[in-house]
Amino acid sequence: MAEAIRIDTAAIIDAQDWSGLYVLEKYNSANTDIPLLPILTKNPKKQNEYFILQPFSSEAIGSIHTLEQLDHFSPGDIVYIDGHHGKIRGILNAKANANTLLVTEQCDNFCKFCSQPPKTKNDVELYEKAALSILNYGRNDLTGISGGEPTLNKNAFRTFLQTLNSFNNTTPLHILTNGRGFSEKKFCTDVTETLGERFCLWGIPIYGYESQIHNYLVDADNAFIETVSGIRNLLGSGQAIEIRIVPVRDNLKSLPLIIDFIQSNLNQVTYVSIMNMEPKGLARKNFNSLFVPQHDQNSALLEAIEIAETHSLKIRLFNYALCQIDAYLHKYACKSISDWKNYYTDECNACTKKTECGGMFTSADGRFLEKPRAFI
Amino acid sequence: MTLEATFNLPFLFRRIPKTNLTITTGYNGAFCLLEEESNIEDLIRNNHERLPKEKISELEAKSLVSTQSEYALKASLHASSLATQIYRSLAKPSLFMIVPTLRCDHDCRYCQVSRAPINAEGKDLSAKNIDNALNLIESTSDEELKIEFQGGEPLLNFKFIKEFISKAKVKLKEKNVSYVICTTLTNLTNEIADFIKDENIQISASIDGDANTHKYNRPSKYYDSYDLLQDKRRLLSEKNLDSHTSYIATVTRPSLGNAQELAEFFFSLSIDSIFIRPLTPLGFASSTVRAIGYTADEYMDFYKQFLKEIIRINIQGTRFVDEMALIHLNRIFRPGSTQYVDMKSPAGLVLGGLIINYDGKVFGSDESRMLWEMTHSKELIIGDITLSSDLDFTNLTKTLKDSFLFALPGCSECAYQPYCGADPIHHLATQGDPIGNKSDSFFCNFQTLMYDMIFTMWHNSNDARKVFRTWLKL
Repeated sequence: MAEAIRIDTAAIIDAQDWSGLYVLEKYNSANTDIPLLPILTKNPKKQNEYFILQPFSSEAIGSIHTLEQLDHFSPGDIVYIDGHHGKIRGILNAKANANTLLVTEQCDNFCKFCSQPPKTKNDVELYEKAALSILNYGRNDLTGISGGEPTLNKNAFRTFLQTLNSFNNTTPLHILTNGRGFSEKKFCTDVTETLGERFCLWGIPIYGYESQIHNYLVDADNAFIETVSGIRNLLGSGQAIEIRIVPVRDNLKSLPLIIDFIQSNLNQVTYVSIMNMEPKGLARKNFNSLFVPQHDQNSALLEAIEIAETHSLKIRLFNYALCQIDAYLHKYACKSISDWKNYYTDECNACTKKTECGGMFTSADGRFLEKPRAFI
Repeated sequence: MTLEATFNLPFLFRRIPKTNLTITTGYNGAFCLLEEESNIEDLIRNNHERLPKEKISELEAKSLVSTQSEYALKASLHASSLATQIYRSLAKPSLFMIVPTLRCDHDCRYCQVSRAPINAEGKDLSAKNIDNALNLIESTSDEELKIEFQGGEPLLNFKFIKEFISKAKVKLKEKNVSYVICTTLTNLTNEIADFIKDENIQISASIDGDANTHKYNRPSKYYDSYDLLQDKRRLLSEKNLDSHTSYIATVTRPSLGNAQELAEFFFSLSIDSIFIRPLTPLGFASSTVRAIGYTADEYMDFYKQFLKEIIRINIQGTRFVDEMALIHLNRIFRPGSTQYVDMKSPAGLVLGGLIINYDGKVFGSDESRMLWEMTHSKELIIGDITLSSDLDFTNLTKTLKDSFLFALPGCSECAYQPYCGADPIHHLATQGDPIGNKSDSFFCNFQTLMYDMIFTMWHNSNDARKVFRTWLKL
C-alpha cells in the first residue's frame, strides 16, 4: 500500500499491559465531571518515553517507549494504544482533515464495494469508547460516526447519544448510516428528540432509483424501501441529509435517474455526494465486476450534474482525481479523501493542479491505480 | 429498469396544442414529456410495456409510476411533497408594499386607478403613520422580507421614504430587509441617487420600449417622458447604480407586432435583464380595451417571438435574462424557490404580501387595492394604520380557503397545477367570483400558454434549453 500524506500510527514497545484510550499531554475539556481518560505525557528528560498518569495525578503509573517522534499528534488528542500489536493510533486528532469514530463493525447491508466488510462479533464496547473519546477530546469539530451500521443496535446508538447529552456535550456529528432503522417512525422520533439542538448531518447511501439495483448492490432485501422511508422520516423531523451515491458498473447508467429520483422525492436533502469507489475490502475482491475508470464515468457525471444544477440541488464529487475527469466537473470535485489514507503518485508532484486535487486512496496501488493523465 | 410491472400513481397530463408532446406532472412537481401521441393513452391504460423503456424508467424515477412493492412508499413520498409545498405557501408574508403617495407625473394608458394628479391634496401617506406601519411589518413578517415602495410615483414623496427607512433600520434591525423603489425615475435627483446608493436600495424602473412606444404607453403632461427617463438613466450610471436597477416593461396592443424590435431595443440599453409583462386587465373602459388590450393568445403570439429573440441574443454570447420566463422556469425546476405572489397555492393574497395604501388602508395584494379603488368593497380592507397596527383578514379567509389549486375547478385536473398559483382577486375583479371560470380567465389562459411554450421550447429547442439552464444557474 502507498504511504499516506498523514501518518496516524506509530510503533511502540513495552506497551503490552497498557492497551486503551489516552489523552495526549492535557485535557481540552474544562468539564471534569466527565469520565476522564488517563493521560499520556512525554518524559521531558528522555526522548521517546511517555508516562502514563491517572487523572489529576502527577505520579506515573507506567511508561511506554515509542520508536519515533509523535509529532503528528497534538496535545489534547485522543490516542489508542494497541499493546498487542505495538502501535499507537490517533483516534481524534486536531491535525487531521476529518475525524471518524467507528462504533460497530456489524451491518445489515452487505455492499458489494464495502471498504470495511461487516463482522458479526459483539463489539458493543466500541460505542462506549467513541463516547469517551468525544467527551475527553472536548473540541467541537464535526466528528464522523461510522460503522458497520451505527444504528443497527438501536439501544446502543441511543445510549451513545444520551451519554454525550448527559455531560452537556454539543459536538456536531456526521453520521454515516444506511438509514434503514429510521423507517421505524418511533426510532426516528426517539433519536431526533435525543439529538435535540445538536447539529447532525446524516450521510445515507442510495445506489439506485428503484429497489432492484439498490438491493442488489447492498445485498439486502427491502433495503431500498427502508432506506428511502428512513430518509423521508428524518427529513420530516427536520434533519440534514447527505445522500451518497457510489457509481459502479451496475448503476452508472442510472446515475442521472438517481438524481431525478432524489429531486422528485427527497429534494429537501442538504447535499448529494457522488463518491468514487475506494479499492479496499470487498471493492478489491469484486473489483473486476464493479470498477469503471473515472474517465469513463464522465458522461454520466456530466448528465447528473446538469440535472442537479438545473434544480439547484447541491452536489459534490468525492474521491475523483482532477486529471481523470472532465474539466467542467472540477469545481464539484472535493478533496475528500481522509489524509491518513490519501497519497499522490510521483507523477502528481509535477502537476500544476496538485494542490487543488484530492489525489488517490493509498489502497489504489498496483492494478488498482488509475495512472494520472496529462491535462491537455 | 425494473423487471416488475409498474402501475400509475396519480398524475396530471395535458396534450400541448400544436405539438406531439404530452406533459405529465406529479403532485411532487416532477414532469415527464411524452413524445408520441399514443404514449399518454398507453400510460393511462396501464399498458406500460408499450411505452419506450427509458420513458418508464424516467416515470419510475420521478414517482409517476411505481412497482407494486414500492407503491405505498411512493404514495407517501407524494403526500410529503404536497405537504411541503402547502407548508411553504403558508409561510409569513415576505413582501410589504407601501404607497407613499398616489400622486404621479405620468398618465399611463394602462393605469386607471393607481394614480392622482401631481398636485392633488390628501393623496400622500403621512409620516405620522410610520410607527404603526413598522409595528405591523415587524409583527407580521419573518426574518427575511422585502419592502417595496410603489405609487403613484413614490419619489414624489421622497421625504416619507427617507424617514421610513431611517426608522425601519431601528425597528427591524433584527431582520434581513431589502428595499425596492418602483419608479418612473423622472424625479430622481442627485440627493435621491446618493441615498439609494448609501442605503443599498434596489430600483425597479419602467421602460416600455423605444421613444414612440414609451411615450404612447406612458405619456406625461409635464415633459418628454422618454427623454427625461434616458437622462435619469445616465445619472444612475454616473452614480454607479446600474447594478441596483432592474427594468420592467408593460406591453400594449400597438407593440404586439414588434416583438423582435422590442427585444433588440431592450438589449441595446446594455441592461442584464428585462421583466416584460401583459396588462393587468383591471378597471379599463371598453374603449381603452380596444386600443391597448388583447387576448392571452394574442399576447403569447407576441411573447413567443420576443422570447425567441432574447434566446438568440443569449446564444450569440451575451447573458440577457427574460425575468418572466425565469419565474416560470423557477416554478418548474425549483419548487419553493420563488415567492412570486401570483404563483402560490393557496393564493399569495395576504400570505404572500401586504400593501399599505396612501390613505393607511391595508390590503392583501396590489390587485386588492386596485379593486377597492374601483368598488370600495370594505371586505378587501384588512387593516388601517391610521388607527392601529392590527390586521384582520377574517373576511378573506374563505377566499384563501378556496384557493388551493388541487380543489379548484379548472385547476384540479390541470397539468400545470404543481407550478401555478391561484389569483382570486384577479378573478373577483374580472368575473365577479374569486374562483372564476378558468376557460374565460386571462390569468389562466396566460399561464397555460406560458407553460405550454416553456415546456415545448425545453423539449424541442437545444438553444432554448441551454439558455434556460444558464439563467437557472444564477
